[in-house]
Amino acid sequence: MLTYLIRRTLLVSVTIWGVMTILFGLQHLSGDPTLLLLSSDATEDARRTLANQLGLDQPLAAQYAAFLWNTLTGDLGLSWKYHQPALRIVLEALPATALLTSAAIALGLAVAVPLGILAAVYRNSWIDTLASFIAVLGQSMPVYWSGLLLILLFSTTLRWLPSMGSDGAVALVLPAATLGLNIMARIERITRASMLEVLGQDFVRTLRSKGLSERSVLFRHGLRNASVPIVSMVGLQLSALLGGAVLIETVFAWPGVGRLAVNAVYARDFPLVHAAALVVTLTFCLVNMLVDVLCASLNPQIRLD
Amino acid sequence: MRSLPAKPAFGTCIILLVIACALLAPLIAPFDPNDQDILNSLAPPFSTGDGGRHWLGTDRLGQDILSRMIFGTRVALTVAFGAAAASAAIGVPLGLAAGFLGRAVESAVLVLADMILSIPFILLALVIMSVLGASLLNLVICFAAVRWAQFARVSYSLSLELREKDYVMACRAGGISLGRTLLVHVLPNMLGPITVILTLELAYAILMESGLSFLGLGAPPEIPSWGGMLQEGRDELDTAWWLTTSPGLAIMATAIACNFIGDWIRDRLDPRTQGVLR
Amino acid sequence: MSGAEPVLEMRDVGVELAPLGGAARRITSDVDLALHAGRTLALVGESGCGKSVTALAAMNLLAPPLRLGTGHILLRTPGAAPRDLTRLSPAELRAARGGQLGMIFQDPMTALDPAFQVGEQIAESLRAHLGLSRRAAHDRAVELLQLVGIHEPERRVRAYPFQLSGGMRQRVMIAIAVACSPAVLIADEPTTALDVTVQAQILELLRELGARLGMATLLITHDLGVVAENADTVAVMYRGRIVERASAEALFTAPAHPYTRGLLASLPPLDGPRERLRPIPGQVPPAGVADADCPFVARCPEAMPRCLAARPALTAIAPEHEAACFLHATVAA
Repeated sequence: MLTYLIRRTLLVSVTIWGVMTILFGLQHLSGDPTLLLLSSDATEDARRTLANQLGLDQPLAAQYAAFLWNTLTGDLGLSWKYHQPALRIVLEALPATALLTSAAIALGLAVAVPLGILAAVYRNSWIDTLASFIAVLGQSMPVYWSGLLLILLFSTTLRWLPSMGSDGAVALVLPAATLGLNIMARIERITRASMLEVLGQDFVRTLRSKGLSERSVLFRHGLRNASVPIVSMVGLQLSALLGGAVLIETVFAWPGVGRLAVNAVYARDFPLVHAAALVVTLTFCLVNMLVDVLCASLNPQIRLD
Repeated sequence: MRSLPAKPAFGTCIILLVIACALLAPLIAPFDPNDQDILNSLAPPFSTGDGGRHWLGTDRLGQDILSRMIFGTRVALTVAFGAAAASAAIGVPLGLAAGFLGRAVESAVLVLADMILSIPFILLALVIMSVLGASLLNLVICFAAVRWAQFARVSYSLSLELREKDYVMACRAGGISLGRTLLVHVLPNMLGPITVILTLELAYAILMESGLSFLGLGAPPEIPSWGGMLQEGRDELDTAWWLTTSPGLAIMATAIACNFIGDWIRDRLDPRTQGVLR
Repeated sequence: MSGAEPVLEMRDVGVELAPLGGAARRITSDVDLALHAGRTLALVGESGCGKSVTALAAMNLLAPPLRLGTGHILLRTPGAAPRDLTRLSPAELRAARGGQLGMIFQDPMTALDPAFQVGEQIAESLRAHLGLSRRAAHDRAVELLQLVGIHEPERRVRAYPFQLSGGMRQRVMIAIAVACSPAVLIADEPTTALDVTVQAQILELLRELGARLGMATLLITHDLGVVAENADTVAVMYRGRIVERASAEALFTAPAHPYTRGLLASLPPLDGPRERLRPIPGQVPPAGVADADCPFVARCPEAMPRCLAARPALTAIAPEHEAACFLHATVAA
């Protein structure tokens, strides 16, 4: 367990270093930011002062070293647009994204897992067909389009739910449903496949011979044995989920990290872009570590090392 | 997918239809896709405008939706095929190298691939596109720069299995050069799974390209694209539903088609290689 | 064979194999078995003869593509009217399984849930059938592990199956089966997957538990050595039918059916000079019952023309001794 943690921490550090290096490179490919930050009639002097403030007059290697050191100490500089610490702005937006994505995961699991189990139990029946149909739809609908459709249906036509903003739980319903629908597909399929495998094993007959209820056979024992692939799949889907959040937050004007990042890219606000990328990547790595630990606790035969 | 040959058949039909639209666009489109007709803006489907009927309506500038849809296939296909092919061209050799060239190359490729795949694609692509600027070529470059990692991972997993095979070990022991072994004995055995990834990647590229276009950093605005049409339609959602419906359906149908074909091929592969593709 | 009424009685049981979209095929036919309290009935036969399927049928535990085609399974427990397992509601059937009927499976490596501690697997049966609290069920599980001869039961109760040896897992399996003191114990080849030394211990345990708890035991085995030491009565099965039924003593001293004789002759002698084993010539025909002729005719050293013309029925040839063979038809008449 300890060796696992050390190894993973090392790997996460390398990943973060690589991601930040890529972003640093992209920033310097994008040209002189002072031209963007100052109005076109600014004097050459003003431009030079700004470049000096931002450290842009230093040699590239020195800038890179400073950038890495600052990243390590958690100082990603002031946002060029908001003139506040970039990392703080991102961290303030993080809870909204965390709420959105966890609601989407919860919703996705709540629908996809029972659907996958039903599809496995009633294999080749109409339930199975329906489940696979929903899976295909969820996987193939562009996430922002299904978002637009839900807005069209529930807020424009039926006027049941708000289409924008983050006021209260109602505002969460549509974006979370959109995102949940998107990840449902793979979870449903892996649940079905892994339940089919589990239900074909000998011990299921033992459970029935003990006179356990079908509910206990399927949900307590079946699902527990099928859970490791399902949990791993949620971990794998996290990247798609966070990417989907970027689009969904834009569609629904949800004040999270995704929308912040999109606007930062539009404004070429690189400190903010860096901060957003750092936080998102770190979240991804940490959640995947969590998934590994969870899998090990679900299956006593898995050992972390 | 599950035992229904109707699915790959449906998928193939859709893809052929999309390809036909892309090739014959100027011949079959009823209007010039960029022909503006402000007097006829936001006309609903089936309404008649100057010079013909707008089967799917018009957008805010009075441009014919159907014609823009037909021309939009060109963006979708160019980017999808370009992206998938370029990603494979980079990723497969790197995956093979990771599998056959020893620990150092193996770690380097895998760590790099994991690194790139740990940033959500759309976020990284946004930054790249904002630096490179919106154009079709840049879209392909952007996809290749990120999605090679997917191909590298899969071909690495496959080469792990293949390098233990008797015939591969025999080649190596028999003094046949590594390049030749890979080209003659390893690569052909990977074609099935790689084709599956290619088709699934087509669907992925179509979805993501339209997502980037939706955010305004995909296809340039003057070229009709499905994602761009969705973005334009978003502001008119409560007044003109037809702006978003057709491009959304087109993206979905094309993605479903690619997924159907990919799943169908996968189900026909050796069960052991299927595990690699999960 | 015994004065009292049998605890579990299988009447005319026939199991069918009904693959999806295929025609149903009978696997066993006309199987009649009676289990008496405190006694062990051994069901013997070669692989594929239908004995394991019969064990599952006794629990009404057949799962697709297998299903019960004909017959009844009557369960008589003290203080309750006889019940037909084939007519019970799913809930009643669940109460009977694990409650009045316990089952031990062949392979303890795969028959236990790998994701649960063995204690939990015993306890959940107790909780489901006896309504014990979590705490009480746990304590009882420890006692049961002790009962089946597992050392340090307080520690082992928390073990996962993969942490136990094969013999210990089979002991756990037995603890699960007898947890609710069932009236009937069905053991499907309980020692086949185990080492020879462990086999004897497990059989000893089964014998002891059967006597102590007064269970009616159905012991499925292909091993006549096991039968000789453990069974009170024996039924021999061939190609889905019972071909001979007798007390263990009668069967070993005076086997009536040529198939039984062949089985006995193929055993290595316990004493005396070692000679070549004599296998029964021919192979077991594929599963599925035949009606037109004697099922054994193709391999029978004493086949007669009439064996091809009709199938002999199971008839009494001596007190408490039945055989399905024309050699004895005249004796019975």
